[in-house]
Amino acid sequence: MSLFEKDDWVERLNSTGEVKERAISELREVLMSGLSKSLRNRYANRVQADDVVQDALIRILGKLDTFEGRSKFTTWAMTIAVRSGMSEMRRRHFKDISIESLLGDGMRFEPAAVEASNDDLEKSDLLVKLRELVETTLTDKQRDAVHALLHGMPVEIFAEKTGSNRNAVYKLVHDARVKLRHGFEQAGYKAEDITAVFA
Amino acid sequence: MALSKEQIQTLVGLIATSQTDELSCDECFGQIGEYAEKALDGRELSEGMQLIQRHLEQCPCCSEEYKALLDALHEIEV
Repeated sequence: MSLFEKDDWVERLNSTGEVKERAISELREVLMSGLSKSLRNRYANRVQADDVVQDALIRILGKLDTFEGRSKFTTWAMTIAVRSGMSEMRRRHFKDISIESLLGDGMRFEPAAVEASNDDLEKSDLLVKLRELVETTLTDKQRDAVHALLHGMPVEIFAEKTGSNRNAVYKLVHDARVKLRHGFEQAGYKAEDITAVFA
Repeated sequence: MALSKEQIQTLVGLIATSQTDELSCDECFGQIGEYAEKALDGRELSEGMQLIQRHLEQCPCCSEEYKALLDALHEIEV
């Protein structure tokens, strides 16, 4: 049985002495192997796997009692390690990028984007409607969040920089999307029509 | 800052596929390991798992982590 298929991880990690130390050492090996591949070529390699593994191990050991066995233990542990590594890379990547620098003078629609589709009346109408809905139905916070995300700022970084949390920002953006969708529907546009026009 | 044509296209796509009932990032994270194993094994997704798929389509952050997770799992399963 390979390291990855053992099913006694929780028992061994919850034990003491040499058994526990060996289990931690094996888990470190598994995480290093996976993270070395998965973190490579993301965010310009700002974090190396060994930077992440120790922090991930502490998190995993602290959450052992939440492991429900819905996946292999190594898969569950890897999800925690990957999120830990990605979060750190994003944090470093966006450290000197402010929300204000992304937003500039607010969400605007490039005139060229609308004018370019003058030959396509339906698309042009949709863009005018989209601009109107963004301006009239979204709150300032929703506009800022949607705008920042469209410019590549991850949800969790936007959350950190605004003193919020990832779930709350996702919900903020979700509510904005649903408002815009309802606005289109009330104006007589179905989702499939919108998708088809912009395909 | 003005939105480019590509950003408008992305926004329109996200609006068109929005559903009232979507998972939060934490709800997605709680099931992503099981989802990844099913995807790697080519197993069919249950209805609950399809909610994860929908979240991944709407959330670039979770989607990016999912791709990194698949890379990691590929590596350790070799």
